[in-house]
Amino acid sequence: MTMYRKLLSFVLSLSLIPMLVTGFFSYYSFEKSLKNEILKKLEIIADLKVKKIESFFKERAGDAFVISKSIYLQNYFALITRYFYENNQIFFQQTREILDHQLGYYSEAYGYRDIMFVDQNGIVVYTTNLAHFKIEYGKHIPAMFEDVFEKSKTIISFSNVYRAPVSPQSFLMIVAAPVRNSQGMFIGEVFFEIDMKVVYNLVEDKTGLGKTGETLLGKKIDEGALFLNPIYHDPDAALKRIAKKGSGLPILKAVHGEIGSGIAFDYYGDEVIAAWRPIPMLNWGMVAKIDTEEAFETVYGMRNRILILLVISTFIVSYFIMQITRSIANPIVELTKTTKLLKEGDLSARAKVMSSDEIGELAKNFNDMVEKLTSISVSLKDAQRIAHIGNWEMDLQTHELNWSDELFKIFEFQKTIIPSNEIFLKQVHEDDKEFVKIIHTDSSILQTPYNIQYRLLFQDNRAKYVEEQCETIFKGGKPVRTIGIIHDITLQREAEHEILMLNRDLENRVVQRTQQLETANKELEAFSYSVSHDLRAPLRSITGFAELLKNKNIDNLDEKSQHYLNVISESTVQMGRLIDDILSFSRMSRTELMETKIDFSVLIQNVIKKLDNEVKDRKIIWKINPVPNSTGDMSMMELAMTNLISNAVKFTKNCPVAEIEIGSLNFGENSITGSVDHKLDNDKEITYYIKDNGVGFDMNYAGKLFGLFQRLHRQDEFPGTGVGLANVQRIIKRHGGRIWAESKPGAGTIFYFTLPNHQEGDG
Amino acid sequence: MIELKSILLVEDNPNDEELTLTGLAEYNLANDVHVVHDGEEALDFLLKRKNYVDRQNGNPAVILLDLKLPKIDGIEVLRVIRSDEKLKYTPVVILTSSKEEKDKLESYKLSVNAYVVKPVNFQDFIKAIKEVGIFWAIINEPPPGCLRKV
Repeated sequence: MTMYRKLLSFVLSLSLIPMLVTGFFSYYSFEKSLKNEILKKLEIIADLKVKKIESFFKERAGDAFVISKSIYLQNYFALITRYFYENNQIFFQQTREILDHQLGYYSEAYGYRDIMFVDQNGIVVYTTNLAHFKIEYGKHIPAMFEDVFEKSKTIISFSNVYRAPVSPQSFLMIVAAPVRNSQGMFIGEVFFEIDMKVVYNLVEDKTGLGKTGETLLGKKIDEGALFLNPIYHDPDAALKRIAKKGSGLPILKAVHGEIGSGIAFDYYGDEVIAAWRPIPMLNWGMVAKIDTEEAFETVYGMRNRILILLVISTFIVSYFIMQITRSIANPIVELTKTTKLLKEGDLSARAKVMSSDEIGELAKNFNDMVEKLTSISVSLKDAQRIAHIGNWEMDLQTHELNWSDELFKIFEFQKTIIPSNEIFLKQVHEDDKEFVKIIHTDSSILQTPYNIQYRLLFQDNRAKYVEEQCETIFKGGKPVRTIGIIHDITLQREAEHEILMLNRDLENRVVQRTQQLETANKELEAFSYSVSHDLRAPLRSITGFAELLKNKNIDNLDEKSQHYLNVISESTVQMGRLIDDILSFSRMSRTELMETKIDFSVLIQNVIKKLDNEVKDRKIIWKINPVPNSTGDMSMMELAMTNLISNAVKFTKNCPVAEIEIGSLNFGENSITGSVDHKLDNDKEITYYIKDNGVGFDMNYAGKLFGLFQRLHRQDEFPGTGVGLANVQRIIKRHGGRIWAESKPGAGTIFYFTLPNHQEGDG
Repeated sequence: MIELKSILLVEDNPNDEELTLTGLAEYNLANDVHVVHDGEEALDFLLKRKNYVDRQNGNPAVILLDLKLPKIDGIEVLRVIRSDEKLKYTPVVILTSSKEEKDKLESYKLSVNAYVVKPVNFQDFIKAIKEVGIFWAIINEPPPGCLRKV
């Protein structure tokens, strides 16, 4: 049930039910009082009618009494009776005329049909009605009058209603009164014949009864009640129609002396309201009745009007309630519509702010919230778009599967497609399909997370590489959702492939270069080999044959020739040394390093010992500081140290006292002279130095110092090949160190070299 | 017919040959020297092939072998010598200009008996040759089957 309907039915029931209940009850009590009033009115009318009938009959009885007691009548009664019996026609006629005269007025004034004299034997001796006279005069009264005749001998009494024998449409009654003579003897009775029309007129008077009003007279008989007057639906009812016992008709109650009123059914079966009364004087009963339809016409009219009014007001109230309800419910309905739109993915949907009340505030806050969520969602979407990552989510209860926009893009599906596993599998590469199916099935059974890579294949034969990761979310130990991401890794894969190709290419090139290098090395080796052999052989020949020549002609050779031959020999020796040095230099470059631990202190001592020959005639102060050990190729390092120390020895040869200091720099020192040209890192390297107080050199030429065949001194000053320092530099570099020198002409030289601090690295 | 001499000198350089023979001559060893000029000839001589088919039995007391030789180099000659049943114990002295580690290593791997670098200086050279000659041709007792100067 919608909010609107709920609210509507609530407000409607709240307002309409009291209204209807109040309407109904007020109508009900109104109807009741109205009916009571109508019944009361009917009772009054009935009472009035009873009184009228009774007073009519009382008057008639009074008439009879007055006449029967008058001496005049008593006298004439006796006279006419006598004349009747004497058959004295003349007197009889005279008397009769007098009586006619007197009683004729009377009869006319009171509407009697006839006034009869019945003598004590029940013989009709006089009648005012001439028509009667012919029939009844002189005869005994009819049997139906016997009762009244008997009764009336003592008191005035009424006969039953009877039909006039000559005109059956007329109904008559007799009031009989006894007549006595002056001695008080009963001499006969006076019969007053009443035309019931007068009574019927009284009864039929509809004043206050309306159109369907009717008054019934009845007389109790053995079978029930006999109707005494003609009635509307049955004009022949009088003295014929009987209301049988047990039929419950009101007339029965009336003839049984009951007084009452109420709703009943009449002789014709119509629903009526009736008032029933007895008329004890005559032993009759009377009923006054009106059809309820007419009686309650005003009530029913009122009821209809009230009903119409209720219906109209119900409609009006309902209409206003609907308006009000709508105005309350509409913002909420709108809000609901907006949430539905949002749920369906229309992120631009916003709730209408229709009012400034709490609902308006709710809508506004809701919009703000949606705005924030949308911006988060947009960020997420952007992130997914940029990263080429889509995500999916599956509800394990409903099996509803959701894909993010980016996922549709990765799969290259229209957004109108409904996500399903079958559709997804269509895009998976045939070769990977089985694998993906197995992984998905396993995961759905065991709820295990997975991370797989596979290919998608599109209709244009384009392939995409994707990586999929999946996890199951549990709630209270029960799996509720599976969530996963799919990452388009095609670009990465292509890049990786390219790197792989480049690497392969690079490897090929390295192999090629290595081969070239190996070839070059081999060539160089062959060259060196050839140099060592082929350059030395001619030298040997030169020196050899020069020597032989000298030996052979030693006596014939003058001093100059001998000198020449000596020069030739020395030059060849020098040449030989050069060749040796070059070969050694090239060997240094080529031979493999055999790294071992080197005890530098021992190494230095050994080198100095070897130089004994050269220094034996010299005055040298050696200052050998303790130095840290290092690792390196022992023979190479020995060669380097030999070179450096013998250099120091060589270049101090002109000093009266040579000072040679060997040591290493302390932690943090840059140099022993304070130069900062070479930044040192004592953590990573050890710096050794060899310092002398020899000739030194101009620092301008420092760049040439370590060049092959580069010399800074003349051959005759300090002989050499210019290979030594080049060799040293080569050795130090091959060990991963650096070498440099500081010097000043005449002030000595310091050579520094570094070696990697392997100990530090190890420690 | 070629006579067997106690020293086989394998030397392609005529100058070196002359200087070597000069050195050996000082101890009268020059006449006991047979000189071949390349590796192939050396093997022909030792294995009695081609020109040396008719050579008398026996192996030299010492072979002075240069390394750098035309056709077949010294190392290869040494390898053949060491792998031949009849020749393998023959003393071989490498007499070369090469100071290369590689050459030395190769030679010693093939169980060379001595490795002498020819000094450039003449005096040193003569001295070296003389000592080699005296030691191998006179002092040393060669293995059986080798000719020896009496």
